[in-house]
Amino acid sequence: MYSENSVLIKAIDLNKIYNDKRVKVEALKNVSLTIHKGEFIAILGPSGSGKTTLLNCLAAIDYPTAGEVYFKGIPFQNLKEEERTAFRAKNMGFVFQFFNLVPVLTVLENVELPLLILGSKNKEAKEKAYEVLKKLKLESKVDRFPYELSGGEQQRVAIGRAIVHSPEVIWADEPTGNLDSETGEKIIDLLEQIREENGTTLVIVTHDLNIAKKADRILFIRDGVLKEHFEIG
Amino acid sequence: MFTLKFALRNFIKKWELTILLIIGAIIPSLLTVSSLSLNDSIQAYRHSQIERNFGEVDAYIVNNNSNMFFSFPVSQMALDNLKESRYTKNVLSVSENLGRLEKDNKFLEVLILATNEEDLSSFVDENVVLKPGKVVVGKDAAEKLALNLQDIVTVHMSGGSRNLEVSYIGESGFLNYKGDMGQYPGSIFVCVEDFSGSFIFPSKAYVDFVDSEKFNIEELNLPPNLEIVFLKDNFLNSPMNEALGYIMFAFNSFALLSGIILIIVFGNSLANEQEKNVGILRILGLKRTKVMFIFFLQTIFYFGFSSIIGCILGGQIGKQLLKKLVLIANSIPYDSRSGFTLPPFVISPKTIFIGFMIGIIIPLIIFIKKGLEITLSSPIDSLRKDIEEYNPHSSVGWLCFILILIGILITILFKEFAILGLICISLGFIIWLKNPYLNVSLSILFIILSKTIFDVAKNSFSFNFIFQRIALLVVSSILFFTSIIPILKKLSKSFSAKKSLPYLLGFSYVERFPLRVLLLSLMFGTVIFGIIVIASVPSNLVKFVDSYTNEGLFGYNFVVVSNPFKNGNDTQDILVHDGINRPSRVNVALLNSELIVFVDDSFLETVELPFEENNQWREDLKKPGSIIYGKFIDDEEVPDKVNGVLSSIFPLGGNSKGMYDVVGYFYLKDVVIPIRYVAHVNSIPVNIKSLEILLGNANNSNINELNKSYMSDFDYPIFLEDILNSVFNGVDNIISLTTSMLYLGLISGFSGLALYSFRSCKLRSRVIGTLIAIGANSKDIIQGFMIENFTIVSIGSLIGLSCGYLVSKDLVLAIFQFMGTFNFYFPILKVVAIIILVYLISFFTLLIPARQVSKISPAESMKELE
Repeated sequence: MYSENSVLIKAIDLNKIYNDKRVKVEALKNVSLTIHKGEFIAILGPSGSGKTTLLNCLAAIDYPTAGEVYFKGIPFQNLKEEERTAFRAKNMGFVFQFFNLVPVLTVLENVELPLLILGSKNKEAKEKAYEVLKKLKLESKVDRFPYELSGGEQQRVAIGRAIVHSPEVIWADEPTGNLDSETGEKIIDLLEQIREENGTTLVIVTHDLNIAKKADRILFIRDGVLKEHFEIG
Repeated sequence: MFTLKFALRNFIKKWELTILLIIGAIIPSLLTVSSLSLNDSIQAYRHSQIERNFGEVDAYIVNNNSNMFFSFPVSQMALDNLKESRYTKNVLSVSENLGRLEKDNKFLEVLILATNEEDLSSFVDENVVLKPGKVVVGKDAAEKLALNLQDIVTVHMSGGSRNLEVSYIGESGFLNYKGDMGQYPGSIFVCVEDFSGSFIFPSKAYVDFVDSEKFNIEELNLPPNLEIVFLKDNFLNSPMNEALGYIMFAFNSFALLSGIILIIVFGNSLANEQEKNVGILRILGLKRTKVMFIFFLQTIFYFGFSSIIGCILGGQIGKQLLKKLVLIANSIPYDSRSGFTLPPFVISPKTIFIGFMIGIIIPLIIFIKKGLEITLSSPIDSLRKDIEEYNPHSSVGWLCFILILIGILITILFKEFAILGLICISLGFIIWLKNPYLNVSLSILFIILSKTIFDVAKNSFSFNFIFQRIALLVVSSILFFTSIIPILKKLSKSFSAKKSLPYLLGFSYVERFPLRVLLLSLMFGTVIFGIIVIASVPSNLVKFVDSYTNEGLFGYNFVVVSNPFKNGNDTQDILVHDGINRPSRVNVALLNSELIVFVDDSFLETVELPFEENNQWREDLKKPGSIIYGKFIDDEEVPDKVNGVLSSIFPLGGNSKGMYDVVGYFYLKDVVIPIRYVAHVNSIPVNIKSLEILLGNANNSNINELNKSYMSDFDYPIFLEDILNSVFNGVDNIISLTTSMLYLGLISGFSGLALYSFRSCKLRSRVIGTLIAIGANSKDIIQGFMIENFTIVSIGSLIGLSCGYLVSKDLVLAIFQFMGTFNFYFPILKVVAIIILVYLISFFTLLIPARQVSKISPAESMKELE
């Protein structure tokens, strides 16, 4: 289905060990995987299985203890912290379980953040952010603050923030974990729609099988080990 | 034990925040104890001086009509009755006056008591030698002039001088008496025959009661023309005993306020932080009383500890303050008054209690209130609380309505409080509309109004008006600088096309928590305001006096004031000793209860008046019955004639009818001294005892000789340059001392800033982690953090600076309104230095939390929440 040229992310023998003072936790054990451009991947596993740790390592948010991660052939392990940050700013979007919007910024300001980080002019950033919010049917809420919105609306704002700069990949860590099932479904549908319209690679971390079933592939992780690998359809 | 462990856990675990909070919170206790300990020391000193100063004496009897210039006799019959009273142990009849003791050209102002040897010996129960030609000198006076037995001293009295031999040195008790308030350096006792101060004997009687506390004053049967004064009670209970401490406390109030703001802001934060954990404990079954006890314990740990340290440090600082104040007082030399003694430093338990309570009472209220709030609501609500969640306060429409209504009522019904009414109305709209543009416009409007309708020149300068104007200026400053942030945020977006992320973050946090930012900034603002006002007002006074006396007083640099105790009711000319150039005489009296000066020909010929437009008046005034009139305000009408009662400034100094033709006028504001009329000495009636002043010029080289000559004459010589320099130095030293105390208030400010930034780091770690995750550079985040905190410092500094400037200017105008044009002096260099220092220390304060921000790992910070 996907050629070698379409590989976006490649991980080889990822290991992550947390060394607390009293306890040593092996969060990832020799995890290897490949993600292609435009794919919809679900990383499925129970709580404490290491799925968020895996996402953090693949997204260059965290450093693996051992192993390699390549993004479009660029090895993350060779990049300095500032380079990793800049890389994320340009190529990645994030959606979190608890939305993680900046509470003192308005909806519009939250969405324009990635553009400002990339150095866009204020006027351009504002216009583009407004366009995105319009698509997400949130144009009437541009001057509100996060606390004034419902959970679903806040997550849609977070999605707007994740897509405004047209990233290559969207990482979503339990995006529906804090929402009711109906709203959660709508969020997943929205993410799928964005992926289809823009060709963005979508990686969702979840413990919900119903969500995972919507993906092109499910990567099942348990106790830090990538157990099984299902392709859907 | 569990509650203790729980309460102690935060205190120890977050030790950096604990230390910061304690450092800031010690200030109120420190300043309270250091100020009030001055009163304790003086009070204790007074107690210790009781026996030393008064000895046997409990009270004195004096004629109601007697005054410092003229004494009436105490009747012998009354004295005999007093002696026979069962309450009286002993009575000493005296005549008393102020005098001067001279030895080897050194002078000392002393109290002279004339009495009989036998009576004195019996009274003090010592064998005192006091015959004609002899003098008994108190020990303190003897030490100051290095006197020994058999030394010959000159005693200068109002009626003349005497050379007397020191026959006895009074070691203690009444023989070492220093006046009823201990105000004189010492006293001497002379024989009645040697006393040339008054011809009335006795004019006073000192009484030693058997038991001064247990008697009925009515049983003494004193005639109605005699009054009794209880010396020891008055000495101990004088309000002057507590003046110094309260004055220092008032000066320190700005710094104290800064500390209290810190306690309120961070007391609230600390209490709120407990809510989630306490909620969990309540779900697990912890009783309400235990919850309240936890809060109580935490108050004691944080604020009790800081109060104790504050009290201890306050004691040390109070000790140093006392030393410095005595040094300053002693730096103002009086030739004939010796310096002040340093009292031993004492702190009373009452002061420590007050100092302790000041540091703990507010946090106790905050914590108990929080405890009640938590225990009265559902524990689930406590678990849901996000400490830094932006939750604007619920609508306070009712408050706005009340403010507007009150403002309207005040403006209509009490026109003299129009400014206050306007402020209330504005505050109502400000709280209701919450629009920064409205706020900035209102603040500018207030400034415009203060220069137009509410201008100083257009209104009567009453205390009420000054107070309202100050309130207007303060509100205007606060409004302007707190409301300008949203505007700056928009401007930063427009002007910094790229790299606007730090400004967006920094200004947004400031904008969204206006009350907290205002309180934090006021920790700096109040101190800077206090420093500016305390530094400006006295500096302006000094500059004003200096500018007017730069060339001397009307061209004269040497002034001799005749001693009013001299010469009885006669006015005798002050001698002109060699070394005085351009001697001119001025006599001062009252015409219709206002000051009139009579000047001689020499004065009219030699006086230098920089404001003089023409000198015709110098000739016109020589005509007998002529007067020139002092105009209080520019458009005051000058009368053609002035008729009234001419009287002495001294009681029983005589009076006479005065009728004068006005031949010219001058402006009071140009003269500085509040003289209403000027006339020639040929117009002064002979029966009026006027105060004579000799003006002249002296060289530095012969000042000492001249001083000695006039001191020997029992007059008061003043070399203007010396006296003004020492006064100016004294004022400078006091300003330095009080402003340095105010700097302590800045400790609260820096501590508050550090606490705020550390807590922000901690509470925003998730947000910061998210920003880093989505690609924000940690440098941008740190910049945003610094912008936020420096904005807080800037708001406070600018509020303090503008309020300080505007209020100082108003106060100086109020003081000098009738004293001529005067350029307001603003100690700009000092103020700029203070503000630079504030920024510098703020920068260093923020380095550590900024470093913490840079170390936040997005993975860890987001993991923590989940």
